[in-house]
Amino acid sequence: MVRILKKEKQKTGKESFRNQMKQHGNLFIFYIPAVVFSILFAYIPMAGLIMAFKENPNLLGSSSAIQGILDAKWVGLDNFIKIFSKQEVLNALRNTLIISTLKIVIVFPIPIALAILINEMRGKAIRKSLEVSMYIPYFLSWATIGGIFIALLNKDTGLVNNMLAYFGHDRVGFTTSNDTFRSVIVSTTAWKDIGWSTITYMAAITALDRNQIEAAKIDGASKWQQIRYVTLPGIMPVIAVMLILRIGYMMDAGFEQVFVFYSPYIQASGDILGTYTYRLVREAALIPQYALSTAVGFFNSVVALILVVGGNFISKKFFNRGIW
Amino acid sequence: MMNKKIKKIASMLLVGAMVVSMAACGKKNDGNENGNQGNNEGNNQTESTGTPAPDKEETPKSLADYPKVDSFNYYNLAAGITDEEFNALELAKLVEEQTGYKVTYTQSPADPTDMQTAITNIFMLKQDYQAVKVSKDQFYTLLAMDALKPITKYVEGSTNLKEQISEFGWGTATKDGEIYAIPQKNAFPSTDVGICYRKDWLEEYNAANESAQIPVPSEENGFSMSLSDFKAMLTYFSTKVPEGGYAMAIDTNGVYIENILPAFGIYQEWADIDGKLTYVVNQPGFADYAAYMEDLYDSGLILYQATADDAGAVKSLQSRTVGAGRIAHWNAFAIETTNAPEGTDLSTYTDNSIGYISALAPDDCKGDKDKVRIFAREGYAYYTVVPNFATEEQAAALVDFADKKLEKDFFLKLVLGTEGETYSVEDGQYYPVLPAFNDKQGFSDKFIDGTREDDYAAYWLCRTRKTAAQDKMFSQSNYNIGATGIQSPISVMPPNEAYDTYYNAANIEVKNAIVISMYQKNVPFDLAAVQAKFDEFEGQAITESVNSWYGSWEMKDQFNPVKAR
Repeated sequence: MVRILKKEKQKTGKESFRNQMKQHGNLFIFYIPAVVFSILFAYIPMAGLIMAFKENPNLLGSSSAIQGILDAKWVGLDNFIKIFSKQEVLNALRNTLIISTLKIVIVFPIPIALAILINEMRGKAIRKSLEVSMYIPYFLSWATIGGIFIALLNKDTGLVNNMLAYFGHDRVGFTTSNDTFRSVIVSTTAWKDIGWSTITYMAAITALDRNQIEAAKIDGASKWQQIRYVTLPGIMPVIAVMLILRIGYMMDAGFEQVFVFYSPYIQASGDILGTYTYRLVREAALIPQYALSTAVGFFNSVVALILVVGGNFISKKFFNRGIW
Repeated sequence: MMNKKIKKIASMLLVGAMVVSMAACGKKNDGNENGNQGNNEGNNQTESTGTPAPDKEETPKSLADYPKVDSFNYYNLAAGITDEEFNALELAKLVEEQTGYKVTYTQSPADPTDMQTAITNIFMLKQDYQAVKVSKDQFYTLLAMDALKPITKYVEGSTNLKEQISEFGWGTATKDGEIYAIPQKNAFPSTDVGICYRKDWLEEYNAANESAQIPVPSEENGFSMSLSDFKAMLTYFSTKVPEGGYAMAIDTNGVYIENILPAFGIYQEWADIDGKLTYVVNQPGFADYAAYMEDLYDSGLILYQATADDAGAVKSLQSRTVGAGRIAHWNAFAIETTNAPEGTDLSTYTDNSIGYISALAPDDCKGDKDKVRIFAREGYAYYTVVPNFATEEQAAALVDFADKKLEKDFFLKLVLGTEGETYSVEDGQYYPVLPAFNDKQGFSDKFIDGTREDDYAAYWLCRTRKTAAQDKMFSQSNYNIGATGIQSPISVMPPNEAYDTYYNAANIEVKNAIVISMYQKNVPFDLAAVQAKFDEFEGQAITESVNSWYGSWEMKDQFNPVKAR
C-alpha cells in the first residue's frame, strides 16, 4: 500500500525532498552554482532597493557603502514623485514601451518564419551558408553596427541617401528625424538579432517528430498545410516561452543600441528610460544620484515582473503552456 | 509537508548566504571604520572648538617631524600608455630619487565618464589608493561628501608648498578652516580653443573680390574677424568644399561656441550682468547669438555632428571636407600635418593654408584689436587629494612627496628637463629641444602635484611649443590674451551644493533643447522655451545659490582685470 502511495506521489510529481536527493542527488550539485550565483548577484543586491525610498546616500564619504545607505534618511515615495513629475521621464517611458512593442510585433515573428523557410530548403550548402551569414551580425557590438548604419544612412554622404537622390527623392535624415528614428532602431535590431533567434526555432523544428510530417504528406497535405498544422503547433511551446521571456525585457528597449544612434534631435521619439537614466546618473550629476536611479530601476523591475506574470498567464490560458 | 521543508531549507540557505556576504563586507569595513575613526576624531576636535584648533596657534611642526610611510599608491590622470610603461618612465625614477618615496601609479581611463566611475569606485569601495588626482568638480563633490582627509597640519609644516602655492589657491582647497587637497593651478589665463579655417581659400576670396575684402586674421586685428565677414567667408567656403562637405563643422553639443559668443557680448557661460552671475541663455546677447547661428545653419553652412559616429570638426578639417571648425590647440598638429610632404620633419612643419581666429567681433568693432574679447581660463584645474580612509602617515607622506617636488631646481628639471638637452632659453622664453623634449618630458605634467605658480607660467609655454603647428595655433588663438581674456568666476567658486547637484543636468538638457531648434531647419529658435528648460531643471535654485556666494565674494571686482567691451 505504502509503495503504491509512493508511486502515486512520484507520478504526480510531488516527491519528497529526501527522495529527490536520493534519486537525483548528483544532479543537484550542478544546481548549486546557479543558486549561489542568483543569491549573490540577484537576491542580495535587491537589498539596495531601499535606496529608492531614501534620500541620496553618501556612498563615498561613509565608512562603507552599506553604512552610507543605512544612514540616509527615509523619504517615502519622494524619489518616485520627483521622477514622474518630469516630462522627460514620461516621454522616455512612452518611448521605451513603443520601441519595445514595435520590436516584439515586427521583429519577433521574423525568425520563426525564417526558421521554417530555411528548414524547407533543400540545398545543404546554401542552407548552411545562409545560417552562418545570418547570425554573424549577432556577434558585432552595437558600436560597430552603429558606425556602419550611421555611415550608410548619412544624409549627405550615405549610400542610401545617394541612391534616393539618384532616383530624384529628397534626402532623409534617417537617424536624426523623429519620423524615421524608430524604424532605424527596429530594422537594425532585426538585422542584428534575427539570425541568432532563428537558430532556436530551427532547433525546435529539428526536434519535431518527423513521422507527423510524413503522415501529413501521405494524407496529401500541401507544404503550407504541413507548416500550419504540424510545424507551427509543434514549435508553439518554444514560441510561447520565447515570447514571455521577451516580454520580460519590455522595459529594456535596448540602451546600447539607442545610445549609439542617439542625438538630441530624436529626443521626442528615441529617448528611452536607459538613455535618460544614463544622463541622470553618469553625465549630469557631479554627485551621483543613486536614489533616483534606483527608483527608476525599481519601477522598471516592477513593470517587467507584471508583464512576465501577465504574459505567462495569457500563455497558459491560450497555449496551455507557461514557463512555470 | 515536505514542500514546506524544502521551502524552509531554501530560506535558511538564502539567509545563511546573506549573513555570510554581509559578514564578509562587514569585515572589510571594520578596517575602514578604524581608519576613519581617527579622521572622525580629528573632525570632532575641530567641531568641538568651533574655530581652528588651539594648537594651530603654536609654531607648526615641521613636515619632517611627522611619521610617514615610505611608499604609497597614486591614482593618476590618463597618459595614454600602460601602467607598466608609466611606472617605468625615467621621470618616475627621477621623482623617486628626489623624494625618496616608492610610488606606484595607476592611471584613470581617458573617457571622462569612465574616469568619474573609477574615482567613485575608489572612494565607495575604499580601494588601496592613498593619493588621487581629480578635477576641480570631482574635488568639490568629494569634499561635499566628506570623503577626504584634511592635510592642513602637514601643509603648514611644509616649506615649498606653503610658499609656492598662493593663499588664493589654498583657499580653493579649504573647507571650514581645513585644507583638503593640493591645488594645481593652470599656468596663466589662456584659451584652449580657436576657430581653425582655410586661410588659402580666404586669400583666394580676397583676390577675387577686391571691393569686398575680408581682413585676414592677424596681429593687426588681434586674430579676430567680424560677424558679417565670417558669414561671407563661410558662404565662399561652401562653394569650395567637395561634394557633401560643409563650410564649418561643429562638434556634438557645440552650442556655446566660445570664439563666436564674445561678438554678442557673452564672455563666459556664467558672467557678471549688473552685479549678478547670469547663465548664458539668460544673458542679453544670447537671442542675437542664437539667431546668427541659426542663420548659418539654415544657410547650409554648418555641419553639426549629431552622433559620436559622425565626423566632428577635427576629423572633417583633417580630411579637408570643411573649411572651418573650432578645435583645441593639441589638435592643430594632426590637422596641419595631414598634407605634409613625405620625409618632412613634422614637429617643425606648419601648413600655410591653415589659419586661426581667436574670436569674432561685432561689425562695428571690425579690425579693432582692443575690442577683441576672449573666453579665458586660469583657475585650478586639478587637485591631489587623500581619501578619508588613508592613515595619517600616508597623508603626511603624500604632502612631503609633493613638497619635495616643488624644490626650485628639481621642479625645473621635472617640467623641462636639462637645458641644452631637452630645452633652451631664448630671451627669457623656454623652447623645447625636439625631439628630445617630447621623448623625455612628454609626460612631465603627469608628475606634478601643485606648481611653483610664478615659474610654471613660463615653463608651461614650452609644452605648447612641442610642435610648430601647436605653437602656431596656441599663439594665434591666445594673441594678446592678457588684454582680452575674461574669466568665469565659477572657475574659482568653492563647493556650492545647488550648483554641484543640479547644474550639469540642467546644462545638458538646455544644450539638447538648443541643438534641436538651432541646428534644425524649419524649427524656429524659441528662447523662452530654452530659458524655461533651465528653470525646469532647478535653474533658479542654481542661480540663487551661485549668487549667494558671488554677492559676498570679496574678489569679484579684481577678479577680471579685463572688462566687458
